[in-house]
Amino acid sequence: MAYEDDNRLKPRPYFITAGKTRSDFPLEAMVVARQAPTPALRHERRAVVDEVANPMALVEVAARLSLPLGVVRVLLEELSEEGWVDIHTESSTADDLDIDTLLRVIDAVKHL
Amino acid sequence: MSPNASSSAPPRALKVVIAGGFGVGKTSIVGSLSEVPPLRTEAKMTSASIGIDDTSKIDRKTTTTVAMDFGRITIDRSLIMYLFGTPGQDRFGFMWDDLVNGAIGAMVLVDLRRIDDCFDAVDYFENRSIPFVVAMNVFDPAVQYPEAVVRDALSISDHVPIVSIDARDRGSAKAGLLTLLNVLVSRKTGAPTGDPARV
Repeated sequence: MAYEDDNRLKPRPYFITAGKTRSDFPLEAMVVARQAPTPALRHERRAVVDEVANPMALVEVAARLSLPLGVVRVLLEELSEEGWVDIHTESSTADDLDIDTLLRVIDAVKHL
Repeated sequence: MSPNASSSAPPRALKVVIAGGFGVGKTSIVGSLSEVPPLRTEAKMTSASIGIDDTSKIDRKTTTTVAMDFGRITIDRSLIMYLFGTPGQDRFGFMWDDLVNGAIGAMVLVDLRRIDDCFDAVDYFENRSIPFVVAMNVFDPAVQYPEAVVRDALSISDHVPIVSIDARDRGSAKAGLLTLLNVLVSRKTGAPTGDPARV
C-alpha cells in the first residue's frame, strides 16, 4: 500500500480532514474546479483543486493524489461548500444514456 | 471544439465493470483499453456474498477494504468512461455493489480452462438486469470450444453475446468493449444484437 509506506511524510487522514468523516457520494461522482485556486488554498485542498481543472471522478482524484477515498470525499465536500469545486452525482446507467451519447462513445472507443 | 459547447454539459462518468475469476485477465484488459497507466485506489466496499460455499443461505453483506484497479477513456471533456476491474484476491466471484451500482454494463471474462470461475459473475449481472457480454480470454489457442458449447455450459440466453478476445491486445479488447456498447444500442433501438463493426 503506497499510502502506508510513506506515511511518515504525510499527516494522518483525520488531520487533513480536521476530524470530519461524513460524505457519501459515489466513487464515480464527477468533480470539476469552479475557479482557479488562489494562495489561500493550501496543501491537500490546493492539490485537489489543481487536479480537477478538467472533470475527473472522485476515485481518480484519490488515486492520483494517493489519498484514501474517504479523505478525498470529505475534502471535496468542504471545497464544494466553499465554492471551489462542483460535484456532479447524476447517474448514468444504460437506461440514462441516449442514443446520440452512445454513438459518440462507440466512435471514441473505435478511435482508441 | 467550441469550449462553450463542451462546458455547458454537466460532466458524467460512464462505468464499465470487468468481472471474472482470479487471474482471468481483468487487469490486462483494463490496461489494454485505458489511455493512462491503470490507476489504483483502496476503498471500503460492501460485497454481495455470492459464490461462497455457504449452506446457511443467509444473505450476508460484508464491508471490506479492497484495492481497485481502473482505467480511463476520455470520450470528450464532459464524458469520461471508467473501466473497473472487480477486486478480489481469491477464486470466488465476489461482487461489489458499490462498484456495480450505476454501471452502464459489464464484461465477464472467462478462462476456458476454469470456466466455472465466472458463474457467479454471470448470475450477478443476470439477476440485476445489467447488460453484459461474455468474453473468452484465449490464453491457449489449443483450448477453444465452439460458442454454442460455452453458451450451454454457462446457460446464458441468446441475447448475451459471447466473444473471443486476447485481453493483452488493445484491438481485441476494443472489440470486446464495442460488443458491449452494441448491446446497449440494441436495447435502445430494439434491433437485434449484431456485428459491432456495423454500428
